[in-house]
Amino acid sequence: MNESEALASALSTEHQAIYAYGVLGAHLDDRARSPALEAFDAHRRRRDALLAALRTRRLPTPGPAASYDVTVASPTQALALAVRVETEVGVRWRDVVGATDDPRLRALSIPALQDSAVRAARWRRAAGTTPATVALPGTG
Amino acid sequence: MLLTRRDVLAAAGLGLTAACTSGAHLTPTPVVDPDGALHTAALAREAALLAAYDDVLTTTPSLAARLSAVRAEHAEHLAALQALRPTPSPVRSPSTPGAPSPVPRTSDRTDPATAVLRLTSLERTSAATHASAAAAASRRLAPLLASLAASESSHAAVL
Repeated sequence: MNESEALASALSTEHQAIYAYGVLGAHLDDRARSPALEAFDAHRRRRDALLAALRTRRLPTPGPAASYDVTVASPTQALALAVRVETEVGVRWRDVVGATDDPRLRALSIPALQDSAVRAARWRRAAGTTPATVALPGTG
Repeated sequence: MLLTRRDVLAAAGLGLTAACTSGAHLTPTPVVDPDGALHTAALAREAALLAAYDDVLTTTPSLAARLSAVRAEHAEHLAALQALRPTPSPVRSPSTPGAPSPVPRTSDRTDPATAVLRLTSLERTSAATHASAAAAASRRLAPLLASLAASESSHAAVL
């Protein structure tokens, strides 16, 4: 995967994450809603950084889909979706790490992978999943 | 001290210059792998973390249920690094930059909460060093180092 494809793919996944948190946040209790809102904001910031990187390179900046296939009917499903979203985001950011030598993109993608792994672990812990962590975040 | 990619490339460049100015045009120029030192230091960090977990698990067996899975993930880190050995470098690094200082032995009297706090701190430090190394590494090594940084950040968050 080249750098342009990795950036576009990361953008697409961040669009999806923003949509998913908008849906799942409403199904969480008060204690979990606050980190969900923080995650929503964090993914918007990463989306904006990707849009800026793509524009700098004069590459297309695809927008979000009209909707995504995210069905949530319970707090349990909301937590499971949050874990899936962060896992997928982590894969895409890891792809960016391996597709670029640009220090600015490395400085964007490495913390993004770290943050997604931390959020995934916290959501797994909230769901009672053990272990809450994985050995190699971003590898699927 | 952390080696940045620029440092490593600069060192490699000096080596090349030396090779060229020695007049030995018949001598093949040694190819220095910029990942070599980063890889060696990452291996040392994972070995140190494994030793720290083993130490705590020995002195505080009551933490086994809480720590065993995390320890197993460090064993996976070590195996993944070993599987991604860089091409052998002709230049031996005199030190292992970025390697943590030896971990002080945990006293038998250390209570479990203190032991976990110490491990959390080690995880956080190692995650930051892996992340810096990932920023400097080649495209081949960087994704693995970034995953190690991410895993250890998550350990620090939920230990």
